[in-house]
Amino acid sequence: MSRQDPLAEAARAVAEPPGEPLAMETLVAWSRGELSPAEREAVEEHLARSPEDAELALALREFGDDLPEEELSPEHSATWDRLAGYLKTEAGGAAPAGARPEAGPAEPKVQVLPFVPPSPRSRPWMAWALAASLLATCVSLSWGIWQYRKASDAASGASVRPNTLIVDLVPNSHSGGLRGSEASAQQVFLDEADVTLTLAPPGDEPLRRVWGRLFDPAGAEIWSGRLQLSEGGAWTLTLRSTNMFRPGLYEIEIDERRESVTEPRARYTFRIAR
Amino acid sequence: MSDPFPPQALDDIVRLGTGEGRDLHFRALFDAYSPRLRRFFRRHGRTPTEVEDLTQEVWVRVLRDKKAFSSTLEFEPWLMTIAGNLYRNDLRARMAAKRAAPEVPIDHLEEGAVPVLGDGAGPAAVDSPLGAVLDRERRIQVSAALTELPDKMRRCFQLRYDGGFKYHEIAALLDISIETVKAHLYQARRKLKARLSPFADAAPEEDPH
Repeated sequence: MSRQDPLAEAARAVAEPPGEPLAMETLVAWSRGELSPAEREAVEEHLARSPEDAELALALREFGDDLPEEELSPEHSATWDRLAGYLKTEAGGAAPAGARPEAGPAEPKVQVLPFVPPSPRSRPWMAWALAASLLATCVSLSWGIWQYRKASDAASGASVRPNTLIVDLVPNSHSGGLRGSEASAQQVFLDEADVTLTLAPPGDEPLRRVWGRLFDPAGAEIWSGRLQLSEGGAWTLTLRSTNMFRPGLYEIEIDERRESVTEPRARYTFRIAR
Repeated sequence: MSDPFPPQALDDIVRLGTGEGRDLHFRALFDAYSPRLRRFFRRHGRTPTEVEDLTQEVWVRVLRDKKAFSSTLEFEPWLMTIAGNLYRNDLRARMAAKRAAPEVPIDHLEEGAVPVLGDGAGPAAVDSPLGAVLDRERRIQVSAALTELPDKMRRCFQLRYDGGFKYHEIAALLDISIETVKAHLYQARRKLKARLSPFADAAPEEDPH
C-alpha cells in the first residue's frame, strides 16, 4: 500500500480519534473468543479506529497459537537465574554465612526487686470502684463513637446524589473483611485482596453486561471496565487492590456501552468505612 | 492452547510461600510460557535484549502481584493481561520518544541544510483559498461516503488504509476470510471512487491573485 494512495490519504484525513484504549481484560477476552457477538462487534469497531490496539489485539490472538519447535535460548537460563535471585530476595533469604549482626545499643542496667505478693488484707471496695470506673469509661467511649459516626454520616450524606445506594459496612468476622449490612443483592464486600460490589439493576431494566467507571472520594477515576452479570440477577464488580479503597464515599457510573459512560444511565454511591 | 497447569497453579505457588517447592513450580510456569511471551514481544522490531527484558518484567510482576491472582481466574489470561499492559506501556513510550524526536527530511540531511517548518508540509494547492475549500469539501464527502459503507466493509477499509494492516491481519481482526477482506476492499474502493469522482477531476487551481 502506497502512502500516495489518494484513498489512503482520504481515510487518514477523516479518521476519527479512537477514544480511550480498551481495557486489557476485554482485549484478552476478545483474543480468546470469550465475548458475546455484541461485545465482539463493539471491540471490532474500536479496533478499526485504533491501529495501536489492533496491533496489540493481533499479538494477543497469536499468544495461544502453537509455537514452532525451537531450543530455548541462552537468555532463557540467564533470565531464570536473575528471577531465582529475585525469588530468594522475596523470600527474605538467609544472611550469608559468617555475617555478624551489628551490636545493638547496650541495655540499661536495672535493679531487679523481689516480688511481693499482695496483702490479704487489701480493701474489697477498691475492686468495685475500679470496675465502676471502667464501666463508665466504656459507656462514654461508646457514646462518643456513636455521636461521631452520626455527625460524619450527616456530613457525607449531603453530597449523595439521586439514584443512590448507600451501603454502610460493618466489621465482618468472616476472613477479617467487611460485609454490607444491606440485603444480599446490595452489598459491598471488602476482602484483603478483592472488593466485590453487587448492585441490583435499577427498576425493571433487563439484565445484561454493563460498563462502569469507579471514582474515589476525591472524584478521581480509579477503575473502568466491565461489570459481570452474576447468576443471581445483579451486576458484580470485582477489583483487586486494597490500598485504593480507603474509607469514604465512592461513586460508580454504569451503562451498557463503554462509549456512552460519559452520560451514565445509572449512578450509585457507596461508602466504605472501617 | 490449553493450560499446561491447572488454574490453581499459581495459587499453589502462593500457598507454598517460600522454599524449593515453590521455585520448582514457578520454574515450570516460566519454562512453559516464556517462549510465548518472547514471541509476543518480538513485534515492532524490538531487539532480543528488549524482548528478554520485557519477558523478565512480566515474571517479576507475576511474583509481585500474585496476591491479586484468585482461584477463580485462569492463569493464562491473567498472564496475557500483564503482558498486554507491558506491551501497551512500552509502545506508548516508543511513540512518545518518536514524537519528541526532531523530524529531518533526508534531502535536507544530504544537503546539510536546516529544515524549515512548513517546508513541504502539505500540498501547495491547499495554500490557496479555493484549494482549502475544495479540500474541506472533499473531506466531508469522504467522511459521508465512509459512513454509508456497511460496517464490516468500512472496518476493512479503515484497517487497510488508515491502519496499514495486511489482508490476513484484517481477516484475523474481523474474524472473516481473506477472500471476504479482498471483496470488501474492492467494493469499498469502487463505491468511494464513484462517490468521489466529481472531486477527482476538480484539481485545485492557483489563486490568480
